[in-house]
Amino acid sequence: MDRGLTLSDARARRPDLEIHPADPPADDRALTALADWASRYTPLVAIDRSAHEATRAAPGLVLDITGCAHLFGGEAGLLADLAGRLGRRGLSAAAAIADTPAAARAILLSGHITDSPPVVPPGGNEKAVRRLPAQALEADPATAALLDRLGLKRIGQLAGLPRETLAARFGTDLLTRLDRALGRAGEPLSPLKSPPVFTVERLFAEPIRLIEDVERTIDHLAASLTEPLVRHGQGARQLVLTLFRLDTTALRIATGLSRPSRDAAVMAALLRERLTAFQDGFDSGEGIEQVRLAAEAVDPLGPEQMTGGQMTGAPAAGASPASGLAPDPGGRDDVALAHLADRLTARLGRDRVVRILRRDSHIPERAMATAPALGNRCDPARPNPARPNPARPNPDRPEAAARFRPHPGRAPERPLRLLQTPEPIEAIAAVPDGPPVRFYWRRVQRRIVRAEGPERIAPEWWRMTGPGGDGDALTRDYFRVEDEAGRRYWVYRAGLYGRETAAPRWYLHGLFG
Amino acid sequence: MPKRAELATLRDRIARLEAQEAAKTRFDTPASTRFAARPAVPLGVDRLDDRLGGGLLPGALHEIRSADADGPLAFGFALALAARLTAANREVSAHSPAPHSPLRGTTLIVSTFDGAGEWGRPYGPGLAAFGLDPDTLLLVEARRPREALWAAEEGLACRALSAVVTEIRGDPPLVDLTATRRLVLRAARSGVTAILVRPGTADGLSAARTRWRIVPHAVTDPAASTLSSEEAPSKAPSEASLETPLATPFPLCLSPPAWEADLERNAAPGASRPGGRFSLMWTAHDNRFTDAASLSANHRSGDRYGQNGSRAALSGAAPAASAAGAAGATTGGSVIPIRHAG
Repeated sequence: MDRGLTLSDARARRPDLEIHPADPPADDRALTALADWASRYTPLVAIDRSAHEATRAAPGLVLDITGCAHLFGGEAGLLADLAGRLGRRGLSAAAAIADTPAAARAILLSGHITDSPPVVPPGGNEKAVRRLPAQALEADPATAALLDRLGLKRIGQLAGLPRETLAARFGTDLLTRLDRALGRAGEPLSPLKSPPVFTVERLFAEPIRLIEDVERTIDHLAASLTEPLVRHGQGARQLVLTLFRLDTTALRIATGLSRPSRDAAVMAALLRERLTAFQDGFDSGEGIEQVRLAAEAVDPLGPEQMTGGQMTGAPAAGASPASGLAPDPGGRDDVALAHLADRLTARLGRDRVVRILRRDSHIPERAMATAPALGNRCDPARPNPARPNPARPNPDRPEAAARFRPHPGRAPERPLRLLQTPEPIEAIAAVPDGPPVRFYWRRVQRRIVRAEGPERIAPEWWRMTGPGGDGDALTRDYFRVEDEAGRRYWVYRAGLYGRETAAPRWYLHGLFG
Repeated sequence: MPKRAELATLRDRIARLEAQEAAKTRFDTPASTRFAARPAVPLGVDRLDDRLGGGLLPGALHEIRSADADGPLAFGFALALAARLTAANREVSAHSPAPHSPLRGTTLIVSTFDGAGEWGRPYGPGLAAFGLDPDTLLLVEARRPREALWAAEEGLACRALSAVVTEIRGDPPLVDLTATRRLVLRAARSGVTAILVRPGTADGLSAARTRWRIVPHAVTDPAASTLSSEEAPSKAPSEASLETPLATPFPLCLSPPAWEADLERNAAPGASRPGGRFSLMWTAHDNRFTDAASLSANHRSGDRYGQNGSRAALSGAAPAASAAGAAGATTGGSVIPIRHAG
C-alpha cells in the first residue's frame, strides 16, 4: 500500500480494508495536542511540515532539547522515555537525535535503509550524515532522479563536490539542504509557543485523578509562582495551567486577568473557577502525572501591590497604579471590580461578562456595542493608556456621549431593552406617517392609547454600498407607543410611504421599562 | 386543596421568620466582616418611604415580581431602584469626602438567555436615557438560573458594587427559600443591595425583605380611552383601510415611565409593616420616584395633543421645560406637529 493509491485499487488488493475519510484538520489538532504534551520535555516544540511539502510524508515534531536531556537520563534516556510513552499510547513513531533538525530528519527518513543509530553523539553529526543516502535530503523529485542517474547515492559524495558545481547543476535548494544536514547552516525553528518566563510545575510519582487533587496542586503552584513574579516585579495577566495526562494528551486551561496580579489566592481562585466550569466534563484520562502553571503574559507590577485584593472583593491595602504614585481612594474599588470581572469571566466566558460601549451611530442597533469586561480596565477614571477604552466620551465630540440622557417630565427616547432582531408586527396605522393605532405582536393585539413620534432614522449612506453594506436598507420612522394596559413599545415603519415602498412594513424593536 | 393552602401559609410564616433571622445576623456578624449599617434610601414618595421605614434598605434583598408579560416593566422598576441607590451613594460620598468610603457606583445586571431572547438585551442608550450611566454597568448573561444565582452571589460579595440586579424568568425550582436566603446573607455581609426580578413567578417563597408586584400603570385619561375605542375600530376595521388616511385618535405625548407597585411584603426588623399599592413615576433626571397618581391628574389637565404646555406642568421648572422642548425639536421628538394626509 502506497500513498496516492486509489480506493478501488486498494480495495482490490485487500477486500477487508477498513476505510476512514481523511480529516486533515483533525490530524492537525491531534498533532498540536501531541506537541502540547511534548512540551513536558522542552519548552521549544515545533511542528515540522517541511518533510510534508516535499515528499508528502506525515508532518512531525521537532524538539529543541538543548539543556534538557540530562533531566531524563541523557539523550538516549530521553529518546527511550519518549518512545515508551508514545508506544504505550498506541502511537507508532520514529525518533532521532542529532545536532541539527535536518540531520535528525535525514536519519529518520533513511532509517529503513541504513542501520544508523537514532542518537548521534555530539560532534559526530557530519560523519553520521555523510553515510546517509542522498534521498534523505528530500530534494524535489526531479533533482532526486538526476542525482540517482549521476550515481550520487550518498550524501558524502555530494559533500565532496565543489559547491559552485553543485549550485550550478542542482540549484541552491539542494545546497541549503546539504548545509543544514551537515550543520553548516542554521535552520530556523518556530516553536508553537514562546517559552514562558514564569513557570512552575509539579511531577507526581503516582498519577492523580481527582479534581480535588488538581485544585490542591493549583493552590500549591500558585503560591510558588508568586516568588519569581515578586523577584522580577511582574504581575500575571494570562495564566495557563497544563495538565499532562498519562495518555500523552495535555489539557490546557487558560485564564486572563483584567489587571496584573501575583496574589496566590487570586490566581488560584481564577483557575479553580475555570476547573469548576468543566463540572462533570472534567476528564483526567488515565491520570495526571504532571501539572504546570505558567504566566504566559505579564505586566510590570509595583511592589506596593504585593498584598493585592482578597477574593471576597475586600479592599486591597494601598493599591496604586503600576507607576508607583500615591494610592488613590478609588483604587480599592477598582481592584475589587477587576477581580469580580475576572471571576465571572473565568466561569461564564468572555462574551457573557461585558461592559457597554457607546458607538456614534444613528442606527439603533449600532449605537451600542459590548466589550468583554476582562479586556478593558474596570476603572473609568484611569484608563490604561495602552488600551484606550472606547467607552470614554470623545472630548472632541461631547454631543455623542450626551445624546441620550434623562429629560425632566419626558419619557426616555430609547427603550431599556432592544430585541436582537426587530420583529415584524401587523399594524394598522394612518398613512402616510401616522403612529400605529393597534398592532399584533406575538399573537396578542395591542391597542395604542398614546404615542410619541415619529423619529426618522435614515440608513447611513456611507454604508449603503460595498459587500455587507445595507444596500436595501429603508428609512425608518420610529414611534414610542403605549397600549391600553400601560405597556410601552418601540416600533418603526420601514420605508417611506409612496417614496420607498407602497406598503410599508412595521417592526417592533424594543421594550420600555 | 385546603391542606396545600395551609402548607403555603406555614411556609410563608417560616419565610418571614427566616427573613427576621437574616436581619438579625446582620448585626451579629463579627466586626471584621460587618459592613457599617447604612441608612435607608428614601425613594422620594413620602407615603411609601414612611411605609418602608425611611426608604429602601441597602444591603438587603428586594424582590420584584410581575406577570410574565410585564417582565420589561419589572426590570425597569428594578433598574430605577438601582439608579436610586447609586445616586444616593453618590450624594453620600459627595457630602462626606472620607477617604475610606469608596464611591460605590457600579451596578451588576445579571440576566439569563431566556429573558434576553424574550425581551431583548439591556440597551445602552435606553439605560442612559433612564438615568443609568452605561459606564457604571457590568452586564452578565447567564445560560441557566443556576449560573445567574452564582453570578449574583459573586457580585454581592464585591463591596465595590452598589447593587446587583438579577432577572430570573419563570419559576425554576432552584430559586427557593434557601437560594434567596443565601442572597440575603451575602447582601447583609457586604452592604450591596440585591434586587431580584422574577417575571412570571406565581407564589414561590422568598426570604426577601421587601417584595413587590409590578402592574402596568394604565392611562386613566377617560377622554383618550373613549377616543381610541370609538374611533379606532370604526375607521380601521380591516387591512383594507390601510389606504384610507386616518386621524390619529390619541395624544401624541408620553409621560415618564410609571408603575403600579404592590408592596406585598414589607418586613422591617422585628416587626412587619403593612404593604399597599403605590403609583410610582420615575423622574430619571434627578433619580427619584414621584407619585404618579398626583402627577397624572396634572398631566391630564395639560394639552393631550403633545404641546409644550404639558411639559411645563410636569417639570415645574421653566428653564428645564424649554430645554426639553429644544431638545425635542432637534431630535425629532414629539413636539413636532404631525400633519396627516387628507
